Amino acid sequence: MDVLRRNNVTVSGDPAGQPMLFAHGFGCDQNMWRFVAAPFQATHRVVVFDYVGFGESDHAAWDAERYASLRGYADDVLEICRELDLSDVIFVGHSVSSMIGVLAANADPERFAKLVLVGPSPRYIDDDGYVGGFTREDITGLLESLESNYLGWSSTMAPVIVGNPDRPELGEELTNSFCRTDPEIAAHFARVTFLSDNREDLESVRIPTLVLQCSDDAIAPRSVGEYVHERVRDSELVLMRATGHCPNLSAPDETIAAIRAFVETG
Amino acid sequence: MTDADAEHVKAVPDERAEDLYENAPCGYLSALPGGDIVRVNRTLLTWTGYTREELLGRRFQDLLTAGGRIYHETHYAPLLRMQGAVREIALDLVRADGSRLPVLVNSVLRTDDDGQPALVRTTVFDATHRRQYERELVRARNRETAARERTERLQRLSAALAAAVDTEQMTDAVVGALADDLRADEVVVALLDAGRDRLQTVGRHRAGADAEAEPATGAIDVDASLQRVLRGGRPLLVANGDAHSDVAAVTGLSAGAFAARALLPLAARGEPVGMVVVSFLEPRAFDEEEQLFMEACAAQCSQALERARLYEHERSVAHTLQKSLLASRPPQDPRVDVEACYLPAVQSLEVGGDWHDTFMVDDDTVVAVVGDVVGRGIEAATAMGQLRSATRALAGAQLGPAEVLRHLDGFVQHLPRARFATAAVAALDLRTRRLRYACAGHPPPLVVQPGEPATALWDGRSAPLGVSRGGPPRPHAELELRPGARLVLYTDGLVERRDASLDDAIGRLSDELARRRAAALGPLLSELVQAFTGDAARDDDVCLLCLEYHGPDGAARA
Repeated sequence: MDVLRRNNVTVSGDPAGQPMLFAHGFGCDQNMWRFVAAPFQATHRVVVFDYVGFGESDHAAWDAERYASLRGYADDVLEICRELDLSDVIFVGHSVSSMIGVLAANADPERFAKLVLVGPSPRYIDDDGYVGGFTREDITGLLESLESNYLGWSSTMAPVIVGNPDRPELGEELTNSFCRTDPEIAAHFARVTFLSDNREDLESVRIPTLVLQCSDDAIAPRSVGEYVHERVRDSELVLMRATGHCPNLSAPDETIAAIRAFVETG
Repeated sequence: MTDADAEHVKAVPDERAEDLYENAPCGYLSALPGGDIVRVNRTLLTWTGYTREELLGRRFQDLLTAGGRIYHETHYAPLLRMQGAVREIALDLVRADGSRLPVLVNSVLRTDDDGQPALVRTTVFDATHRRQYERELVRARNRETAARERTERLQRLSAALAAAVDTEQMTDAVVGALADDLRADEVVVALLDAGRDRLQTVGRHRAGADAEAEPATGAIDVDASLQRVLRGGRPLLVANGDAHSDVAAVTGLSAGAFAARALLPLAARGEPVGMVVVSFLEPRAFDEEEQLFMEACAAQCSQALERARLYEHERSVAHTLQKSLLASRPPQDPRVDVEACYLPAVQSLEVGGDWHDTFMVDDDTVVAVVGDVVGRGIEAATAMGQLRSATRALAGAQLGPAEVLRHLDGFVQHLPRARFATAAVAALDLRTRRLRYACAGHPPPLVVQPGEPATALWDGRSAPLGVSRGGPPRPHAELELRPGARLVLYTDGLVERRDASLDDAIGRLSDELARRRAAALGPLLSELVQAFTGDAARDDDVCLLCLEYHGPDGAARA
């Protein structure tokens, strides 16, 4: 099995630089990092990839059993690191990838130098005093949203095409062409993501960690970011002016500055 | 605008830009990149029941359901930012009165002179009917998929039940099928005890991490309401969190904060035998297909359990019988030691017809016999018992091994079940050291003389019992056992393997025997059985007998 092909791994930047591995969150693919990853190419070895079932990954490699928990996705991250022989890695994970990064770093702490968690949540569902922001019914509603949308998309989804940002004239044809994925895989990933509970894994993190928390994030509220900061021993919490859950798209400059400041210290 | 256009507009009342916007047949909404609504048309206000003041300053995503908000953050907003536009996104708006309005949304992102996002324009189409239709399509597709999977699952269940050899395996199969199909959080199978007034858990499946942790225990008294369910013959569905205090007793079998349950009575020959309790953490209803599926599973389970019960009853009777038939005290003589063991097949419910026997026929002669009656079950065990007694009686009359076999040929003519049985008979004169032996269609005995490799005794062979009656006399062979020698008799279950020839297996047995010549008899037998059958589930019974000769004066005794 070719891991690099499987996960559509793209390597750029300075081959001698410290590796930065950017991992996308639920709902999209490596395109999520298009604004943020590029500026680090001058100083770092930049690696982006798609999880199996997303973007240009090998959808045939998807396996319900392997990906029944976030652990399977963390295994993919570790396999990519091994395949590229990466060490001293700065892992930058968005959304659910924050916890995937935590799992990967806990499983193989030697390989990772730092963690950057953008909009992390170790548990989305409210639970016995813990406020994750969602009820179980909310998640069921999300799965319904996915289902009704994919029905609308299915006929135009057939050939998976990647949009070309340099040719906006293609925009019309390529409606919703980013973030395309197999509906079943997406629903499965949604279930795994939003039902996951990684609160206990936070305390095992031993490497410097940056928590990037947006204002007004509907998916990972501020209290959750603070919770992560409290539980991860050597962590730093940066509250961003950016709103929403995707500062990597909505506020790339602020995101880049925060990551750069963290990466360049110590 | 030309004069002609102006004239035209005038002719059509109220078709001004403002009215086009406010009363368009779709909702219009403009928002800042962060979602703050800055403009909204009257159509959307009417559809949602909000006033303009209520919406201005609120964010578009605040109008969505929680699931929709996640979708907005993870799909809609990223797509809009990357593509500059999104089309035909299905979302639900929450109206002022809390009801939902299914909509399709198109948005475009306007950028400022620097290419930075400045404004999002969104049109909203009422998709109530379209969504209903789509939901029906999805439901139809799901139903079809479920029906297909259900049929396959029932077929698999049926096959698994047929292959199951005991209640445990059956329970596992039923429990697994129900849990998979209905996405149940717990499935418990409980059977009525002999007195029919208590239900005892025999199998449990629990979804999630603690599935393995909890043993299947728990028993409850059958009260009047449970009795009604058991006798009702139909599943009792406790859906959508109904308290149903009627069947509160089942919590003794299935504790937990379950919001919905299905109680499936199990019956055999019209009599209740037990119950399956299928439990769900979330409230839910059960559609007709699901009910039919549960009934089908319960019916299959009932039949299989009844079958298993009969088998197990017969098996236990047969085992008792066999044990009593094989129980006998080995000869007590300082010149000889005997150990024997019998291991029933793992993969079969029924006992087999293997036997072993050792006895003194006079002060100096010990006879050892190992035999194998064709077939399984009580009848085979009974035939074995009769054959064993006959062998003992014939050998006791001082007949040599070959003569014993010849008389058995006559005996089995009246005992059809014992025809084609095989046997190895050996008689050792402890004083003269002379060993006489004969085999009727049986694998060759092995002998290990001190200081020599093990040898298979291929002489003295003839056909299985009841085959050669009236044919040539049965042959026997002789050899002298030296003090310290060992004689091994066994049935084919020890050496017969699909993946190895009998010769190879006997060669291997010889090697193993020679290698363990220093081992005591008891450990030797268990080591041999382990070496030959330990790696795979035995599909045949194994009988093994080992005799150690200590010489005419018992001097070779260790």
